[in-house]
Amino acid sequence: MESSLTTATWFWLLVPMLGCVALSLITYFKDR
Amino acid sequence: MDFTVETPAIITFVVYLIAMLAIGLYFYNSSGDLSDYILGGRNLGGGVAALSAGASDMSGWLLLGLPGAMYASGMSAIWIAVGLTLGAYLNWQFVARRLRIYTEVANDALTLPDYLESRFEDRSKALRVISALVILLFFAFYTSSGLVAGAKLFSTVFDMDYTLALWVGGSVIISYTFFGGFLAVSWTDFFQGIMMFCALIIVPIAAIVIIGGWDETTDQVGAIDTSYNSALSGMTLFGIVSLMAWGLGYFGQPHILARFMGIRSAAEVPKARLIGITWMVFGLLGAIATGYAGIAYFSDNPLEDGELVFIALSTLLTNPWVAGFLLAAILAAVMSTVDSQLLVSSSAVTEDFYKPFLRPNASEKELVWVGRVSVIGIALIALLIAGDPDSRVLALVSYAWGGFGAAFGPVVILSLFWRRMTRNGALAGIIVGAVTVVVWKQLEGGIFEMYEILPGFVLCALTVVVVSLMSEPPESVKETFDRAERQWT
Repeated sequence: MESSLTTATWFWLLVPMLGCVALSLITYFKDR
Repeated sequence: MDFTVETPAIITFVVYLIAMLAIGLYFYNSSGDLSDYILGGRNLGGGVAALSAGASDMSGWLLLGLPGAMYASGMSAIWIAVGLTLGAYLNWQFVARRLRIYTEVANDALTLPDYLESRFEDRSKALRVISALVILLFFAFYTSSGLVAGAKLFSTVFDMDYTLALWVGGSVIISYTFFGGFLAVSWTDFFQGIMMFCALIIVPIAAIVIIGGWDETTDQVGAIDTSYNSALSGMTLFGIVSLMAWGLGYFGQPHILARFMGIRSAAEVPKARLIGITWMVFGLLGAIATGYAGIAYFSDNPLEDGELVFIALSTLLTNPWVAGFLLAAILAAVMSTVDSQLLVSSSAVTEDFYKPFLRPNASEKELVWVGRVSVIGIALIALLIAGDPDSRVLALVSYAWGGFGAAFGPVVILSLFWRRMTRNGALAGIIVGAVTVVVWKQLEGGIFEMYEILPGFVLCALTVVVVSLMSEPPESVKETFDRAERQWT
């Protein structure tokens, strides 16, 4: 049987977390 | 499961403990006055501020609790981690810079109670006393729960007497905090943060490679139970909101806010934010992957205690020198939280009770020594509470986190953004927030199953607004706010 993480799981795991890293990166360059 | 710890692991461990002591001694002469001892003379660089804030925040939960929850329930355990990331990011984005600037503008405040008193020009000292009491009360349990978790773990892994483990770990933490104060605590936290990060990258990658790659891991986990692969399985919206509400706690944690206050300049905040959030996100993802890979790795021979999944993988997968480092990283996670909490409690005793009430004219040298002695006194109280390994103190972590978040969170945020806020609003908010958390925790069923931080936070915020609108803050308070605001913009 083949199974993997559901799309919703990838979404809720990665979008908020990597989103926070991306926003920190953007504001880092903006505020410099 | 039986863990065999070999001599190289013990040597690595001892080297780690000696290194922490050396850092404490190195900073012994850096504490000329109380500002140096409890806030490092506001001289932390962005990187050290970021990792020490992260390491102070993340306790043994990151390497034990979160992987354990993942191991037990699969992807539906991610929600606290998601909530915490959002909370930490918002705290860095909206609170860090303003708090750094305002604490300096407001009479060079060194502690959270000190800041609140100066912010609202409270001459009655009520705000200072109430907030310092909340800090001492919640930290007494929070700190001793960290000590219990650390000592329990090491008595298991090293087959060591619980009391001995407790006192060995306790003495090392007391020593470096006693000698080196805030700089020692921040620099040990910095190195401990790096150790935690490396450990949380090495262990899951090694486990996934041994299992046969990511696809093979998800296949194996799905074969055991497909619900492990879904973050939404068995979850309700109510449950998700309640778990994500942990993130609200950040705005009121005195040991984390102290890192914002101690940063070298407001200009360092963007760099610190980037480093801090990156560290946190990849650390959390590593912890999540560790517990998840553990489901596949131990599918034939499940662990009795899921919280030991990180340790089980560390000792099984890697050579004993690396295993020693990985085990030391768990102790690092525990110690970096306990030391920061000890120092904040000590600063509450010194700056918020001893100096204003007992010896207003005490010399700086005297205050530094009072701070040092308070570290020992508070640590002894925490060690005594932790003396019974079966006490229920571990269950009090969520209570303390929620208590701080609800009592101080809205007060800190509104004090930095709302010019019209008053002293009575702050005082009433702190009391309502703390009482809501305590009362909510005692009630059961229906809505009372929700994590108490959420109602506490909301009621505290409402109270601050309603009570503040009943009277006008003094002109001088508004003028100080305007002075801080000119620096924010």
